[in-house]
Amino acid sequence: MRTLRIGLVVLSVLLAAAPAMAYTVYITNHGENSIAIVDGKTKQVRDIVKISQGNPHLAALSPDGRWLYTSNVGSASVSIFDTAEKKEVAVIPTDKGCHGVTLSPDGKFLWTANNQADTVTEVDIAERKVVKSIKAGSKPMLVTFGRDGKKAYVSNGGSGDVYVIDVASGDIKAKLFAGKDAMGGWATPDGKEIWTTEGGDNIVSIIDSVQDKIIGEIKLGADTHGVIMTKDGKKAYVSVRKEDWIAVLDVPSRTLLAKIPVSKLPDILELSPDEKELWVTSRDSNIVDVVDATKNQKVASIKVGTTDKSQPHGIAIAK
Amino acid sequence: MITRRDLLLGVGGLSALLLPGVSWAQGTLDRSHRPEFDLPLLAQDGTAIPVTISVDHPMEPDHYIKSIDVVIETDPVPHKGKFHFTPANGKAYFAFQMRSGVGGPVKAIVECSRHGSFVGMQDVRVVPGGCTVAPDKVTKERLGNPMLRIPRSVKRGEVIEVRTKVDHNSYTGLVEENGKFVRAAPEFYVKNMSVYLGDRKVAEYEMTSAVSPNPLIRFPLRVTEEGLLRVVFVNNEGQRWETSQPVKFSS
Repeated sequence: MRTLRIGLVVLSVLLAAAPAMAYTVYITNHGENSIAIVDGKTKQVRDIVKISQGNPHLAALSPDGRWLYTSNVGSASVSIFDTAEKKEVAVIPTDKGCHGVTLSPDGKFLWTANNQADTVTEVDIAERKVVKSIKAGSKPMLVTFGRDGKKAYVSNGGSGDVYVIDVASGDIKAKLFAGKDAMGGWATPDGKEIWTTEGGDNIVSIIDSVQDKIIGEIKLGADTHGVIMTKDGKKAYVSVRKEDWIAVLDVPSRTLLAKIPVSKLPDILELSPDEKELWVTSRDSNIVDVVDATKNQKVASIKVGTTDKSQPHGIAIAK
Repeated sequence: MITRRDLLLGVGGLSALLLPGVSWAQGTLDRSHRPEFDLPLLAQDGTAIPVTISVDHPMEPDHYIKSIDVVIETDPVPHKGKFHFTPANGKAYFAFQMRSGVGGPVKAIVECSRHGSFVGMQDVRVVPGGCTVAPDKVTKERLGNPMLRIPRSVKRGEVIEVRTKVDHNSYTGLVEENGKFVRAAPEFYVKNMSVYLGDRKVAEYEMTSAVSPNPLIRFPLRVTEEGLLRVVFVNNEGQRWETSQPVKFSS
């Protein structure tokens, strides 16, 4: 593993971003097996660190920001990355097609969605080993935990459903017909709902996470993908991948507030700690966009890899 | 070379040669019989290529679209499925996922109850391999779990979209040897989907082994009465699964 210097990186800031507090952004470069470390305030790439595993796809960060976990879809594993030392410190084999990684609310476990094995694995972080393997639907892509951590919602892209899993037992409690290409997920801060994206049906589904029933949907544009909410639960952002915009949604009324044009094929979303900036990875454009969330306007586009095929995809921000 | 533009009957001499037995409408080619395609430019997964085909046409008792048949002549399993509509559908479209070994011109054969058949085409390119599967990968696990989803709020006379699915593997049973497709295992697939509102059959979908595993199917339904909406799936071995949901008008 070696650290590549910033000098290898092209940075293109289109417009000066609004003044922002200091924070650090971690981005997985799926195409070149590296993690880009970006200064949130200056939008400068500080480091690009190679890891040993193939195709790091999505990322999760420990609450204290010390440990970054990446799901390595090409190597059927999770990497643990020490953000202080800026190096990969452990690799935990999971299962084939380790696509999504999610940290449990108590911070003790990682759940990975393995889309080539049709399984979900639970990793004990302290033990650094898999402690549970659960048969999921077809092509599980991501796990979303309910706020209390008792239930996990698995978006199965192939079978177009969301499995509700009892975390303690690993039992499947319900199977919900979410939609084609079920992908992203987010739990509302009040713990009452799970919002999921189904790109094949161009929708966001709203799941009542008390009764585990689908209670509504929001039709957006082609290929809804990533979803994230503000901490107060009032606003949601959804990437509309094949139409190159981000939907800003009013959560209580389920209405579209604004469309933010971004670079082609936006994927995954993350908010800055003050929620004034929205970061958007665009794997197939090899770019990461920064949006001024107070103006709903793209303010910067950053290259975070060493090549034109770095494919930035997963993103996590220390808060 | 066939372009991405739809090729309609008027330029369909080649289509007629490739597809004997299709009856052609006489004379005029109006927009109301023109199939519209929603296909990817390049399908990465040849086992599940998303396809939506629609026809902007009246759906009245004496004049409606009876069926849309989807075919890729160049594939080892050319027929991808035929959806039968009734006037109760309200609109003529359906969406599903198909297998394709090599891609090529996707042909939609539209049959109008009054004016006969029309053909449209659009190309799809496919990363190869969608029609074959290694025999050791053929499993018959995890079958069933049919699901149905309709809007929670329905108004009388409204055309709603019905989404349904069933967990089911799908195999052509073919493998490629020396450039030729040969049978290595029996086919295994969901063969039929029938849709009922109350006692009335409102749609039917005939599938082949070129339909994707775990098919998710979308189609319209004009809701003029309350009742139980039922979807029945049957596979090519006669196994049957049913799901239902009441349709109620919003107050």
